[in-house]
Amino acid sequence: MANLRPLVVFILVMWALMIVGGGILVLLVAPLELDCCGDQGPLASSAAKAAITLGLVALWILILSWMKKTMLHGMMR
Amino acid sequence: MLEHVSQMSSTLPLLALVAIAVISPLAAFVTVHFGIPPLIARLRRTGSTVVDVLKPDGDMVPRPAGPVLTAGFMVAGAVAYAVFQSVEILAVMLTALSCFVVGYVDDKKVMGGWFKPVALAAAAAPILLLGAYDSNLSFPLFGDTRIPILYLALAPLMICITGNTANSIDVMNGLLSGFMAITGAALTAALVILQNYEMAVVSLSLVAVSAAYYRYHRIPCRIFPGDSGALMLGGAYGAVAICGGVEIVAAVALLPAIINSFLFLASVKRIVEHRQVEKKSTVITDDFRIKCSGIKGASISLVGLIAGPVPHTEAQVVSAVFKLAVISGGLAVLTALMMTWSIDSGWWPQA
Repeated sequence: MANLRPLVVFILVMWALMIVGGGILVLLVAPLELDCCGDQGPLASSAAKAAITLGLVALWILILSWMKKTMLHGMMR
Repeated sequence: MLEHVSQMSSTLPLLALVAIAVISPLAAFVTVHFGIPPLIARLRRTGSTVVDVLKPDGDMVPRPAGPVLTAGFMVAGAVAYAVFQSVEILAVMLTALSCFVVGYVDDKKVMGGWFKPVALAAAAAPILLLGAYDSNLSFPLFGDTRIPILYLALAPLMICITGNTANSIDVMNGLLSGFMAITGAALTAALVILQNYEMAVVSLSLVAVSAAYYRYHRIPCRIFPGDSGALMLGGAYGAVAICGGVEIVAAVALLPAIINSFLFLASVKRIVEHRQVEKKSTVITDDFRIKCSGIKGASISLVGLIAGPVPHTEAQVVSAVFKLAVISGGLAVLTALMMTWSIDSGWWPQA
């Protein structure tokens, strides 16, 4: 029967990343307000939040890609 | 999350709620159960069949089952809508119907790689136009974050992802129907935990459609779902997640299919139909078993990883995917439980 352990670990890590990512977004990113830009403050804050979120998504994809290479490629050999 | 409890479902007597939770999914089950055999006969008559490449005698299998699966879900949705009169149920039905149309077009005429993602994103229009969503994205433990503008992009993206991931795991007999039944059951349990009974009934109907279809889809398959069936099931799942406010839970339950899509995109590095990929992740041996192709530069898929270099039977691979679905479904239920807790309440369940 197939060895599912690497895939189960992959699922668990993805789940953990989603929980942690949610925490970072709700606790750190969402309350972020920029006071430096006058009338454009809300717009600048939204842009900064969107940029941070996209950065986090990119980081998550990098982590998953690294895990794919180190854990899952072994399953094909 | 608890604000998702609708006024109608909260005012219905418990007995009436239980009755509708039985009648609506039962209507879906009966429609699919009795609707499939005449559809099989009709598709055979009209020659709408394709080869099952994993069968030694090269069986010709009718396709698509999408029309009956959609009919089953629509009947159940109509029953639920008659009782709850909820705009969310209407939005789920219209989105599922739109996804079916997208798939049916692809069943009848082979479309380009970009057609389905773009058309599926457009299929989320009923949810946005009817306002059947909550722009607060709920995370377990940490609460909600308000993303009114971003959500307008997130909802189409989610329908696109759930539709395509469901379609991408429809590669073996019984895999899609069984997988959707397991993940749908997890989503239903999550909605019950979060006391969103309306969407739980709709979600249960999706389970009923999948379970009724599994009888005809399992090995040896008697009818393939086609893109119309796969996209409808995936789109309906995504719509329930959005309208039920359980986007994160739904994503967790769908993790094995999401991993499959992630592996494929990460290896192919472009949006392309599976049939257009030259170096496949799996090969079929002379005795009709599946193993990883091992070709350098080949695409990677969940099935390829599970099979590995040692040939496996179709039943073994399907069973392994179901095990992963049960694990991710369990994590989804745990995530739903974690959504009822919050750091503010000292990690204790909210009253």
